[in-house]
Amino acid sequence: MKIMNAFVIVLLLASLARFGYAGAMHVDCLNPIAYPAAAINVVFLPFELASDAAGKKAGYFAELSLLMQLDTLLHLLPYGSVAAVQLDPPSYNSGGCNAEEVTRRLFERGQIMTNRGLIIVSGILYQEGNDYYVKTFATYQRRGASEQIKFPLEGLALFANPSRQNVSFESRHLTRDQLHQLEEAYQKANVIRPEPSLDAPGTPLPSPFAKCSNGKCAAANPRYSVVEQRGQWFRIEWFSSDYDGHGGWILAGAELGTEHLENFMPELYFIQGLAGYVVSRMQAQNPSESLQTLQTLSEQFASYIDREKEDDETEALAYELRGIATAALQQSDSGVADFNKAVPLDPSSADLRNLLACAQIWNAWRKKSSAIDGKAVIKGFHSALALSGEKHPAATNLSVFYQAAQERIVTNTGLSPEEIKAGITAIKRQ
Amino acid sequence: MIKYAFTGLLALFATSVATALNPCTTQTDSGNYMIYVDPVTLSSAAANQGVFLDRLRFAVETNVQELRQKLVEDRSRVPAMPQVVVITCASQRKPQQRTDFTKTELKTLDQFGVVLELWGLVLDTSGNGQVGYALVSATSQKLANPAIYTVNRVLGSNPESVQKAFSKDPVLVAYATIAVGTRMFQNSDFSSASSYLCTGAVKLSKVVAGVQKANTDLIFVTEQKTLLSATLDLRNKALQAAGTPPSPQSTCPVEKTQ
Repeated sequence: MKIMNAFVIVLLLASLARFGYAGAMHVDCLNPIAYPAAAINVVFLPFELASDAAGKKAGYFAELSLLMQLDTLLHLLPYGSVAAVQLDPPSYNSGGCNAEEVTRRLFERGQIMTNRGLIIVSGILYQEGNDYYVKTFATYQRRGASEQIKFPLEGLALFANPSRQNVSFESRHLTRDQLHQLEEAYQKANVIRPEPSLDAPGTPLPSPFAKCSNGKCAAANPRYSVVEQRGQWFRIEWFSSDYDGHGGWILAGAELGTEHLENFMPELYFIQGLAGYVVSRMQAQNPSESLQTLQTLSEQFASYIDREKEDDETEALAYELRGIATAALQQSDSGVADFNKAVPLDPSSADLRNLLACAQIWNAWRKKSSAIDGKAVIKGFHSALALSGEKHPAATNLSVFYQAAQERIVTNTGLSPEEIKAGITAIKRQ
Repeated sequence: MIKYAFTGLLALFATSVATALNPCTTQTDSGNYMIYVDPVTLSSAAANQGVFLDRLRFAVETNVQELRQKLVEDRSRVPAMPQVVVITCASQRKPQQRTDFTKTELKTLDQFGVVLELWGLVLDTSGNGQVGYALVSATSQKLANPAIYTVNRVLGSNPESVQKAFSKDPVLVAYATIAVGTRMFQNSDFSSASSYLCTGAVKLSKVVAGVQKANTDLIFVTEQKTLLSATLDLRNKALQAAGTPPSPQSTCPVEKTQ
């Protein structure tokens, strides 16, 4: 089994060396796959239908997640080595089609390599007559890697963490007409064609649960690589020889009527930006790549923020992740402006207050002549400690800040030598 | 945004006679902190409000799912933190008003390790609903007598208002944090208690500031300010007990409310 896994990984590595990004659709949720060598995998679970009165799950809705997967893959192109996978509901009633279980299985089967990113997107659909309400959840991580960010300061260092790795989005309303449009979009997207045109006749994408035709069943894991993009269309090539032909074209840009799916579900912008954030945390990029990554994720998070009006916490997280990416890629103001916007939106986050204080110090240090409000920085660390306790990195960071100020590593703090000395003494007393 | 409204309806239903509640679960306290979630029910006066019942159930379900996610995340960051378990109660347990939580009931819940109980109620045919929160440990520590609150939730008359009815519930997260912090205090874990109580207070003050700004419910604001003040007092006690008396450095960054 292990030899088989290793063989698959080698095969995939070889393939991904040629192709920047890849996907798979109609994968059995209980047998999830991913691309081990991809920098980031975004895996879409089928939406669950809301529980009935007895608390039992009523079923799944997979069409939306397929459209989300295709649309997401289309927008991840600037990030290079990326993959998006859509999972179909299990063929039998099982509790195993959820974010925790899918993550566990992907890790157990070596589908995500160490330090590679995984975003799992799941959701619930509630129906009431002609109206549908969708609520989406996302969770992100890098396998075996900490999300901690280090701000080096001439032999010293400050440390911070993102405040959350789970996101819950506000519910979105879809009418029956829109759901019908979504079904139509699904019918268009779920076809592979010889040409990038809806007029070109095609064949439905293979599904693990599709009825076998001509005595031949589709393979269970339909991996493909994207070898060309033309507007909203992808040209794909199957990895497996089980499929007829070499591949073809898929319409990836999901539209409801004349509007993009993102207009109804701004969380798609967030998920795109989140993928960019994960990429920014794991790769040593050259300066032009860094700028490209940052620019793309900044626009994606900005699009989300522009459209999200009711959800302060998630808006704060969008600012925060964009700020961390800015700092990680050593660009502009090290994220200070974004962290400043995020704190009032999510004032109970100790990690966010710690991030802001760290970024302020680091930004001043990077731009040697910049002044820094030392008292505000100290207050930021104290607030983080009040919210989270003494074991929080803010405790060490406060000590490091005083040391950096005393040793003139950081200057223009507005603190007198006496205030710095008093601060150091107070910390030693604790 | 949730519509906060403490109306005369509260008084109307509060006058009903309380009946002893059926047990939530047979699960026993194993050192975990427990949050009970009761089934959403119709008030005795209401009938044929299946649609509103479904809406409130979905609103509660998604918010509880979000709370579960937060609790798992908290624990992954601080493994020493006691596990907080969200338990869905048996359908026979149907609290509908504050008075259903008698002193005996609250004491029993406290002994079982329950920190918070949440229930939902559809009030009438106009789409008025209510979510109730019994802060068991906060009552036990006398943050309020009792620390039981109900928040009206308009369940919608058109798709836009239905969507609003499904919005996130920051009150639930604030109460859960305060409830866990209070229980930590009760268990003499003063250091953890002080940070949880501070976090809960900041979350609650943001809720209060939002309601105050919208000028929608003065009774709610007054009641929550009292709880906020009591939470901060308990935090100061926790700091004292932990051997780190309150100081300007340990000030909880609570948003100022007038």
